Amino acid sequence: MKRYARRSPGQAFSRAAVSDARPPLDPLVVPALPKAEVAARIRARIAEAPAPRAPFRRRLALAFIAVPLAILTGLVGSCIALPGRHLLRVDIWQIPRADFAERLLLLVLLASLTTGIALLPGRRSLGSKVALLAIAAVALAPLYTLVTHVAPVGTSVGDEAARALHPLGLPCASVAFAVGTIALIAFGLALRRAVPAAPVNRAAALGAAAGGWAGVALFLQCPAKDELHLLVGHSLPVAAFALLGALVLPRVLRP
Amino acid sequence: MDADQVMRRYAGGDDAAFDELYTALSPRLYAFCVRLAGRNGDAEDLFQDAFFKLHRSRATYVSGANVLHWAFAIVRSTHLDRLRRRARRPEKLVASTDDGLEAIVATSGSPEAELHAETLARIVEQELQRMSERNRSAYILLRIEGLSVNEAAAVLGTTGEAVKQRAFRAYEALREALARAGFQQGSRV
Repeated sequence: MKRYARRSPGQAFSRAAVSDARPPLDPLVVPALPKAEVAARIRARIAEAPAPRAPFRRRLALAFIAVPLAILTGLVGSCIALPGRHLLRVDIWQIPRADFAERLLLLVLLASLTTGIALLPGRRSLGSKVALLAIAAVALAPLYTLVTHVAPVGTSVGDEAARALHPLGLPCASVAFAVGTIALIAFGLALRRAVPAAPVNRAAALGAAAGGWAGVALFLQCPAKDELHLLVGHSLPVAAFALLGALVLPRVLRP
Repeated sequence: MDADQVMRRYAGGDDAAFDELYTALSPRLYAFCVRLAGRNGDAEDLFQDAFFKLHRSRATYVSGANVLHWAFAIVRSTHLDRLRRRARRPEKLVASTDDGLEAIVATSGSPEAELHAETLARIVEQELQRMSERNRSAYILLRIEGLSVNEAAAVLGTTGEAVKQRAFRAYEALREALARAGFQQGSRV
């Protein structure tokens, strides 16, 4: 069996007055061994708590599958719970196809990319690089705002319907909360006890991803173009999920 | 069979691979625990907790990853959990014993050389325990465990630049402590 060889720290210190013909003992390179009873204690604990054997890949796949289900649940749920709310935006068939598809594709791409960065274990089994996680967590909300606020897509039919909407978009925020929460729970379960390094960064990125999918749901459902509505009802919840993830998820993610 | 392959089997649900895995990993992991936690009782508890967590999250090990680095990350995460718990519920600390040092300093030379090594080890040990956990873990992984900057950064969940800075700070602290004790940097005795 291969045992890992220890490399030398490379730097030696010597006391000026001491000399010895033999090579020095390097206190940093001699291995220590745990007592024999420690192994017995570990075995006993393991016997009491068998580990889950569900393949990790299956857990990750389920998390990805949960995303469309979360969006569908949020949209259908909002139709039932919020009177006068449509399943999809009222002007969805009037908007020029290319414009709508382009924006939707951009939003889905952003959310997918963030989800991939946050969820995938990488070749070291320790997740994406911490800088990448931080960028994913921080950049999604501004990019979402950019895509949805700059020259928002819509038609006069949508504008007419948008007049009846809450000026601050609080119902939209509640839809975002529902979709994001379902996605966040799915991501948390997928990575439960699987993140030994940088759990806060990973959790924030997962939160941002969940927020990104909530943003996609809002884009599909809400025809509003008003700046305040878009900012408070759409962009703020997307940004809030990164914070929520960073606050809530690390405990779930640590081994 | 190497440890990564054994871990792959263990992750796949082969409970019989535990003994092989323990044999392969325990020397390096235990030494890491001793250096991270300092006191021997603590190191043993940390080692035990970390190995249990490794078992609990075995299904999340990705085939092809370096199992030792993954295990180092679990040990460090466990250590941070213990520090957090201790900060919430401060406990009376037991005086440090030299058992951990004795475990690290194996005796194989002349009495003078042994004394020399033991003094050196004690100073290094004390100084490692005195410095911040961040600096200590970066130093241990880079200078003692021999990980590359990128590997250490992945284990510690930070950037390579931060690892270099932390390890440098730790190295400077050790150098000053050894200089104060009359050791000089340079050639081996």
